[in-house]
Amino acid sequence: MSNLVSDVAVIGAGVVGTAVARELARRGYSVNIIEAGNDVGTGTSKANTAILHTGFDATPNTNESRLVRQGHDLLLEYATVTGIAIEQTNALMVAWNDDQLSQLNAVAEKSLQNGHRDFLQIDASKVARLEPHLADNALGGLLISGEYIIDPWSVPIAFARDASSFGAVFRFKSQVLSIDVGNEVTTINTSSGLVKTHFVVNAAGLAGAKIDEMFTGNRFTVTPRRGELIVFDKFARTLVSHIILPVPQKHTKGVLLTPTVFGNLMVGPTADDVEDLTATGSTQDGVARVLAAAHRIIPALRNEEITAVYAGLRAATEESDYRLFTEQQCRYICLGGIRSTGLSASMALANEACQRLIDCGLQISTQSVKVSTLKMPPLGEMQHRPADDGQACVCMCERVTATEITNACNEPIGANNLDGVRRRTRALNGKCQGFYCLANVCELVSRANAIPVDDLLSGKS
Amino acid sequence: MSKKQNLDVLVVGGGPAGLTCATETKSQLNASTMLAERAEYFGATPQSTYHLGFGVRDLRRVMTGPNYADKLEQRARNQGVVLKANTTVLNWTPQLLVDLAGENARYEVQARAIVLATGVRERSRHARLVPGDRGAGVYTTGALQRLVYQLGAKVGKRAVVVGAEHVSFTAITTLKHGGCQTVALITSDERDQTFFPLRWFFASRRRIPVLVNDGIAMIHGAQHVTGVTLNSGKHIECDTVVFSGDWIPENELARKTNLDICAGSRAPEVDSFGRTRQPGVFAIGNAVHPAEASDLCALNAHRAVNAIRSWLNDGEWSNSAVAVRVQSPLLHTWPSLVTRDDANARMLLRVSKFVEPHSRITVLQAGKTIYSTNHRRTIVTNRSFTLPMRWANQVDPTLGDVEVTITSSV
Repeated sequence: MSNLVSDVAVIGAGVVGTAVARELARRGYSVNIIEAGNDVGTGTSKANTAILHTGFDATPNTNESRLVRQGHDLLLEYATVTGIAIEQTNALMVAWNDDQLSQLNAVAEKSLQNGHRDFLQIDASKVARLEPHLADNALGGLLISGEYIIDPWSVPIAFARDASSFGAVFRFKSQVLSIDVGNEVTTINTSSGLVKTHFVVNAAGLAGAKIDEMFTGNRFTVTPRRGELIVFDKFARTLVSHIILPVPQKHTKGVLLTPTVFGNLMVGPTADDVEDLTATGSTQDGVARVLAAAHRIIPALRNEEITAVYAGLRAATEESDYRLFTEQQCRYICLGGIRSTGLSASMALANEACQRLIDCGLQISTQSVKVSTLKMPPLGEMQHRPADDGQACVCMCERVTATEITNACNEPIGANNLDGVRRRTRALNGKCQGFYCLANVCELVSRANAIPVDDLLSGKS
Repeated sequence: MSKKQNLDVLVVGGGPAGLTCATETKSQLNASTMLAERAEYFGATPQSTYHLGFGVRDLRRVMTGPNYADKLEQRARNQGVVLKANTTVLNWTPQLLVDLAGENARYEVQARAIVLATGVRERSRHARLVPGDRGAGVYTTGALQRLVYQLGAKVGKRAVVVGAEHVSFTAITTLKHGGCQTVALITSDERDQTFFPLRWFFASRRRIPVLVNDGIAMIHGAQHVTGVTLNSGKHIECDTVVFSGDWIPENELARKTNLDICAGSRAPEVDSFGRTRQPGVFAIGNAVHPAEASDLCALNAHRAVNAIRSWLNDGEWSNSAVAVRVQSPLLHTWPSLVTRDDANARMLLRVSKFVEPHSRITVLQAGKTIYSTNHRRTIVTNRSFTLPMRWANQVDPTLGDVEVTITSSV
């Protein structure tokens, strides 16, 4: 294995890394994906707000603005074709005070500059008509079309399954230790052995700066920005129909409310810079702030149960835009500093990476582009799911069948632990959080993967 | 969607309350009765609760949970109740047209009466907003019991149990069975809420401390739990955290047809016969009184049978019920609706904090006291105390809500 030299090695199997790997493999290149975690999408990609953005409010004339805009249409088509749950809810940016109300004009102007014309400024009474459960002190809003909610976990899994079917090789639990750039071949020393490759794409997310330093010395630093999110129970979903956005403040986009394709309501995220790249825990203060915002925006949420609380880290750097670099000499591309819009921009970033690699000297592939026939399991609340036909449910809150769980383990890029099953099937993600079904789900995953139950429970696998 | 089936009674939920109610409606009323249970087995929580003490008040014997559950299922079967496992009620209308999925089919049932016996669950760490890392090793007692007794799983070495009510103490035994030692129980109240002999049997003789007036401020361990920090600042090293108690009724179906929900318990409002405000719709068991022992659930199911009889035979539905409102430190009551028929019931009440002996319990309607009593004993949290409902005779359906208050003696 280590004697073979791949065309490209992609470092990081998040939503960006898997998208890049898929695109390269599709075009006929040999690809290695090196991932420190034990599954795809276990870093920044696993805890985001699950929105497919139009990019209407991005800073104009930035990489982010351009790539989110392109990526939006690409992912919309991809999700539709592969059956990844996606729903058009559109977004409503709500002004709660005069200051915010006056800022809406600036946001509208920005949207025009970003090439997104499909919005409408509306008054307080129209806001109340569209969202009757919103607190009654809204002064006005901006209604933005083209915003979707999407299943964020299935996207990198689908990319990875495609990539794998096109011949890409995934190496999990492989942390990059050092990189040796030779004249023609780059050798990546990982915790699971050496990987030889001609070209390297850095899509390492939170570790992006560290990898970049191995090529070019210190260029940027990643300061993880923690975002804490609260997921409310299904009844809360009936309280909103749009993504409810705050008017952007100086430091952050602020707390938003969004329906999820799984039929819940999600509120968050906070934005707190932290030191530790592994600080994915929630905090008393962060949770309290999100909850207070939720109650302020929709008072009826006080009576709703909470399904889950979690936190994710975004790879913030010194600049707000993506940190895209091409180093022709060392045959290296850096896709760094991608914070919360990575999901929306992923497929455009994949095309961008291919183009930059070709600029670096990667030969244009003469093979015909491979076509995927991938179909992802229907996980969306609005999709027709096996349990709807009366198949027995193992996870009763989210209505997941035994076959779905077993398939999630056995399919390519399958789940080999409980978190992997959560993201691939929804099992254990419901309001009871395993009160009823944890034992049954464990039994199925243990059998499918031949892993002892005790190891699943201890988080060893 | 295939053929529509007509039924007298559809019971939703196959725990002690649902099984008992279905058995009795079939045997006493000879009504066509179907019971839909979404799990693959009947008996619910007792099915995975392997200690003695089940069946005392309803079957008048002492059994383990699984024996008790099997017995109730057998009785229902013998009476000819149609028992449907793996069957979920997806939706239903106020006209009692029910959409079900199960046994590889999707079908509709037109029922004359529906009994919600959907039970309770424990709030998870998330629902209690306990922050920290999301490492493995955090369970509810329900999940723990099934892991240990159903799968024979080993869960860890050192556990902290959140809660100090009966179920919290039984978790110690379950953990021990799973190879795990309990290092402490933690309660936000001023003392534990179980009986002295139980506390001695489960905890004291093993020198397991109950930490009072405290709670978990943070769970540590990204991959696996490594410890917890308490609100008091104390740090405990452990690899397992069990959240016990803090029950929430499974109220999804009740809310789907907009039944009135009691603010304190999150349960649908019912009188002591399980009658909601919607004709033909009953709710019984721990779905309406979170959470009592299973034999009490079964006994209260017997009461519902009488009301189901009048409904099926005479179409009789009292709309004279008034709601029961409570004031702090009272949390909620069962029943939460009262008519004069309830005079022979005993009300179950719960409080949010300990109340000293000799408190005064008062029942008022329209500002007028209709009953008042001196409660001699300490009132304990997470455990119901009872109040005879003779005063229900004096409730005037035209005067609005009944109010129950506790005033401390000091």
